Amino acid sequence: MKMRMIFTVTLALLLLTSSCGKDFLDEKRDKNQVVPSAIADFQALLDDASRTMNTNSGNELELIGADEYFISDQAWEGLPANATAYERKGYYWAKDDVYEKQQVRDWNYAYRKILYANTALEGIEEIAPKADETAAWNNVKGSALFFRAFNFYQLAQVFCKPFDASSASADPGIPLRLKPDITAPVTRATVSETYARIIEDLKNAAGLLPELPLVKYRPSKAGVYALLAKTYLVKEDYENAERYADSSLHITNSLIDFNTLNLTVTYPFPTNMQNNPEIIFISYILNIPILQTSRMRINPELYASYDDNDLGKNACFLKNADGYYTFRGSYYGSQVPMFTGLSTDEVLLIKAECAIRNGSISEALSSLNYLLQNRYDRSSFTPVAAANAEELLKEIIDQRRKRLLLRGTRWEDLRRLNKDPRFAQTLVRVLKGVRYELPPGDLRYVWPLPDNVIEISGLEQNPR
Amino acid sequence: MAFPQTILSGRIISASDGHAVTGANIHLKRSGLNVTTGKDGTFRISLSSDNDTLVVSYIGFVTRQFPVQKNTPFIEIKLNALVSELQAVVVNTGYYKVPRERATGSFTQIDNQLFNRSVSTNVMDRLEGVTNSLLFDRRNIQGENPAGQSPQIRVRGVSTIESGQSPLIVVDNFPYESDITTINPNDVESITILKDAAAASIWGARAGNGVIVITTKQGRINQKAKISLNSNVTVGKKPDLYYNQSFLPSPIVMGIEKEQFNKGGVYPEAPETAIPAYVELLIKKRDGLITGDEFTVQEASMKLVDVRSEALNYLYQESVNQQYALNVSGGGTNNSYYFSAGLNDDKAFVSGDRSRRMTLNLQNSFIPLKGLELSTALWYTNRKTENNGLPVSDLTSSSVLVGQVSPYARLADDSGNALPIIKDWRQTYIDQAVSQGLPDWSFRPVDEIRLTDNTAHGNEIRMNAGLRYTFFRNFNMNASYQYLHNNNQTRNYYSPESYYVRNLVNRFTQADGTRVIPYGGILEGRSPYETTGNSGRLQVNYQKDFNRGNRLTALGGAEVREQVMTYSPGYRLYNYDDDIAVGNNVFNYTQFYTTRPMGAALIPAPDQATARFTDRYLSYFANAAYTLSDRYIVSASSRWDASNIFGVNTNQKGVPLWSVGGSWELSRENFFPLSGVVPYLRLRATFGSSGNVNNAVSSLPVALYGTDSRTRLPNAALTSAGNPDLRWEKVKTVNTGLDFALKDRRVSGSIEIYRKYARDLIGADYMDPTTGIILGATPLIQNKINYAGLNTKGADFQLTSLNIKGPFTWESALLFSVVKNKITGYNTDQALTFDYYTADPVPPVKGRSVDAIYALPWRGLSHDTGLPVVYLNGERTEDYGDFYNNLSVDSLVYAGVTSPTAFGSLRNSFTWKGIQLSATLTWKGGFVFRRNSITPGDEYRRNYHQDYFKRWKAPGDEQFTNVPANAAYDTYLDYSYRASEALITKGDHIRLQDIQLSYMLPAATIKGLGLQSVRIYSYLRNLGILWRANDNNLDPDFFNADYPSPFTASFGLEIGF
Repeated sequence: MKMRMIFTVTLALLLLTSSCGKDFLDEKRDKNQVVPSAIADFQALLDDASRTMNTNSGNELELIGADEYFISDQAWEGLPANATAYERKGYYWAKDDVYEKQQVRDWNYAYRKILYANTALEGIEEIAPKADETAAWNNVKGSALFFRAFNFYQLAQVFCKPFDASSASADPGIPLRLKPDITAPVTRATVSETYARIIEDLKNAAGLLPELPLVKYRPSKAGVYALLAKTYLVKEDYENAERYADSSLHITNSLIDFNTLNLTVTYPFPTNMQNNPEIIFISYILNIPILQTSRMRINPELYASYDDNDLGKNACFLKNADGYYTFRGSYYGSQVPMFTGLSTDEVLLIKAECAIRNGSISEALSSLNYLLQNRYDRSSFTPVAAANAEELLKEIIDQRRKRLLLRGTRWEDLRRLNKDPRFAQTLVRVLKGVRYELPPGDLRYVWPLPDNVIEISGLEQNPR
Repeated sequence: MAFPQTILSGRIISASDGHAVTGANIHLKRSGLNVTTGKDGTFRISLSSDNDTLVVSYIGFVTRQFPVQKNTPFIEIKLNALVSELQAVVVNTGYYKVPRERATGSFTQIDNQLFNRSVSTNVMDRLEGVTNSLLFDRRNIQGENPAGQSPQIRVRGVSTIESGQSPLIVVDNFPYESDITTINPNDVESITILKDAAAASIWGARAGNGVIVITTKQGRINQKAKISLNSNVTVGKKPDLYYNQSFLPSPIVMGIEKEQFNKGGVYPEAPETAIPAYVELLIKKRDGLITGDEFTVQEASMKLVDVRSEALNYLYQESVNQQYALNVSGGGTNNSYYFSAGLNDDKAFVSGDRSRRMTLNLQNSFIPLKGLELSTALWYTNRKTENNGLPVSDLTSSSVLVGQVSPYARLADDSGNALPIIKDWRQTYIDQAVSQGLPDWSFRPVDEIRLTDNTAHGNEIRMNAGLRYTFFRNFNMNASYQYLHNNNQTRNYYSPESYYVRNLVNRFTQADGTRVIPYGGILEGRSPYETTGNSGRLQVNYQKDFNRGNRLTALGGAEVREQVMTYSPGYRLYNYDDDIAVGNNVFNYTQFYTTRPMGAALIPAPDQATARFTDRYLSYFANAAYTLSDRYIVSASSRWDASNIFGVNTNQKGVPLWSVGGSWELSRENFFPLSGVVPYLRLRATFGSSGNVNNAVSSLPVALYGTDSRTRLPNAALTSAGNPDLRWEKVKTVNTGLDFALKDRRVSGSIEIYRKYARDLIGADYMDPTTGIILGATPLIQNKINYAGLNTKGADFQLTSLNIKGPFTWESALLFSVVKNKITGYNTDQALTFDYYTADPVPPVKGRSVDAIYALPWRGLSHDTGLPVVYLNGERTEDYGDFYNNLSVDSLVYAGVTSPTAFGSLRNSFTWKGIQLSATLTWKGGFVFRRNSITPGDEYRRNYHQDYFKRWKAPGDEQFTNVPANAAYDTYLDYSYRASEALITKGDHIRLQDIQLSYMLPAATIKGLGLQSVRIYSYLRNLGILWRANDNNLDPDFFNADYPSPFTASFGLEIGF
């Protein structure tokens, strides 16, 4: 007992005279509680793939608002109770109260993933890896940075104005949550800060991740470069976009050859996304009622734009009883969840577009034709020949619409390309006899922040 | 020309013991000069006029005045102690002791005499009714054995929404987080309750609910050995089983069963499903197994049975509690000691339940060198509880068709032989067991009591060591350490004859007769747990008395604490032979075996729960008080806490909790005009903050492991994002008080008014989804953060009067407290529907009390149908389903609060010669409760209630009763009555809490026996309610309980050698 007393008094004295109370206070209260603290714990958080990190991607509003589909008055009326207000009203770009106080999944789930990423980032910094743990440590940190950037990117496409170098430092961006502290105040950064953060995170991640991942649910260097290419593309920084597209293609340019697909089955793409060579990083949205195959009709003008020897015209569509076509081409490989991840086809299209914008018709042609030969019936495929740059750019933009169908990229393209009179177009929906239009540059290309975010944190709302 | 000055000198001594009085105030009325007496009680003061009046005053003594002249010689003045304040009340905060008159904060002190006025085995039981601001809230007490359940104790109301409400209990200067019933009240010297911030904030983050400081007895230096023996016996009545209104007499229940039986379809008559005994009789009659005459005879005898009187005869007994306490204390010039031993033997009122507690306490202190004091203390408690009783609530059948034990069930025959009752299976099924080679399958409650040996054991050892070193005259350093260890285990032995064993064996006997579970005793130990605590404190104290009544006291220090609680796996042995202590635990616990009468089950396996909780605290504290001219006091206190429960940010840059206070003894001022009538008048005001810790919320991120369905890699979901800012809940308190005493202390008392602002309360919040926390998404990430607020305001009054003085004295003590609370910040989950608001717990709502209760508005019973009148959209409707489905939270009315908002007590004491008689009345008011009743058709669901007799029967009855008519059971109809205002009942009541009578034998009588003192005493408790606002015969303290705490009477003898 005396020893204990001496020990405790000494301990008290020690604590008094130094600030070494930290270890004493670090003991977790409940031993049964799993407090993530090891590298493997943080990897497990980031590997919470099909429940958190790779599902519910923030593309719902992009898909709802874009011109790839329409639905009948009847289908609109018949939307089930679980359909959100923003499906019903977002469909015709309603000006007022598009959320009706409902939760907005795009926002919510993106920030949930960001919380996981930030938890991993903060935790991994506390660990000094041993030599044989460096790869695992790097993978966690790189993955967390990638996941954060991926979601920041997605949020910026939905809730911020399109990037405009002249106003980006003043345009309101998204809240850049960089710490897992749930009590930290929520404030909006600017658009330029938002993109700067995405790019910085991705560049940091590039040095930490393996070229290709163990499973495609995990980030990789190829994915980082692909996302950098996408980011620079929406920033209209075509030089950097091309550079990173090249970097990604250098690691992988594998494609799935549509000529090898069995087009007689309902869903022709591999149901195990891991086996789709084209996929770089898996991400998807779950079923939302308005996009269910039974309701959603592919825009007939879009369907008509496919050449007959374009295998995509078959592989991606299914004729419904009413004569309209619906979608079956998700790389998810089954009916509902829609693939929204990163894949080689998109990187090739970025490469092609940027090459031509940067002045190299030949590079653009070779990338485009490499992609198309895997899309068209090989027996009748004739490579696109060098027309003038203008024609080729139009062709590539057109191909983007067809190849990246229903992945959310269409909305991003509309936002970017509407600034260019050559590509600007007004979207039109007709619902119950009323015609709704979404002209280029309209404020409604920026979705409002969720009502509860405005209510709780008092953030500046996007004008609409 | 000035008068020549002369010096007047003298000495002040205490009239009772002749000791010098240091620090007494000497005041000359005319010249206005003040001095204080020195260590030897002497003073010198210059006299500047020929005649003056000398006023001598000191805390705890009667002020005296003398005319003085120039030629007055050295005078010796004897001061008499104030009558009801023989010694100054010294309050103990656990860090320092201070005379109450010198403290600015709000303290209540319960001295040894008051504490020992009542007789109980538990320290807390003795605090009820003797102090204001302390509420014993018994809403939580349910079912049987109300005295064995701890009431929720609130000090000055509540200052939290979701965290614990219990005050911090401090025993001998360290927080005591073990079971308070471990402490023997006979070892307690006094109790101090710290109520406001100035009093409690030195306990920092733990003090938000108030602090109860228990100080144990100690030996004194230079004291002759004192031996004291205290012994008493407490006898308690059997519980009042007739109190519980959820009961209907046999003829009624039999009538209901007969009606159900005749209707058909209620009792399935499956071979094994248990059905009531009377229904079995009806079946026998129907099937011609008994004659009509036999039936009539049996039916008639059943009707005469009341299971409550059966239970009172066979399952309950008069409780007998015996207490013995011996203590020896004393001290020499350099040491002191205290030794005590206590034995408590409690035969409970449930036959077969008994508890025993043995306590030992040994304390020593030595002064090896001048200025150095070493002290050690050891407490040991051993407890053993036997839990073999079968109270009537344990007789409930596992079959819903039987439910609570039938009122006509007999427990023993005329010659006292135990009879079986319907328990798990149908009687006809059980009757076949023996013929099938199985052990008898009957359940005979009266026999069961002696067929099991279920015990719980606990040991606790507490050791304190302290070192006090005085240096530089005004400083002393105090290092103290406490070690606490306790372990608690249960040992349940079921003999082979016990129903538990027979039922298990029979259930697992296979069709071919093989026994999976051997037919032998079963011994099990549930998860034992142990607690180990280590606490250390280093403290430096400073005290300096300046002249003229100026005084500075200050202290500062650091404290480190760790408490570890560990749960270990239990054990379970089958075929256990208690004589040779051999059993077997080798079984296949993963195989499902076919069981009788149906199904399959696993063999009950040992308890595997393991857990370990570590609580660590690191604190720094400081406190200072300055007294100016003996009348102005300012005090300040500060404490910084860190803990492994708090978030990292909180520990790194936590803001200290602090308090300031001031007091002004108005009656010492020369200009005070009423000094003759009001010799003591003091104003106090304090402000500060303290905290409350919630250890159920994690400051750390928490993950749940699994395997990803697609990648097949290990994955983890966050269930807590962690919260580096997680901190204590903060309670800011403003307290103002007035203390006064009239001449000769005939009337004295205090009035205190306070407001508490609880902020940063933990609560589930609607988080901005930008944080990553999404309401309603799975897996849910914990959304409890520090954000909610609650205000409490109240007042405490205390008045003591000496009504008659002389050989016969009559003293009264009146205590009164009012307290209210209101939630000032809380984001109630909007998804919660109205029915959550009429259930328990009620969701917190901003602007309402945390104790709020809501109800449907009551519009009486329909004249035509006798069913509740309800309105839908302003129109009367009889479609209760439609009514229910259109209800919303707005349909409910606020029906009051469920915790008393006014409460108090009145204690009158009469003394004549050695006889003392006192009685305590307590009251509670300003609250309501939701009582139980019977809804239409309830009896067909075996929910019985005596409101059955108050049901509406014919038009016109609605003027006398609110109990709806009988009808087919309907959930919505049920809700429209059960949730209504009709069942909200006023809780106000006055209770005769206790009566105490004691006789102190005259000194002359006992001197010849060599004794110092002999006291004979008697104490009666739970004498019943004198007045209640409800006319339902409910005790509002026990409206949820099956019966109130039974009446007890104690008789005891205390001898001092």
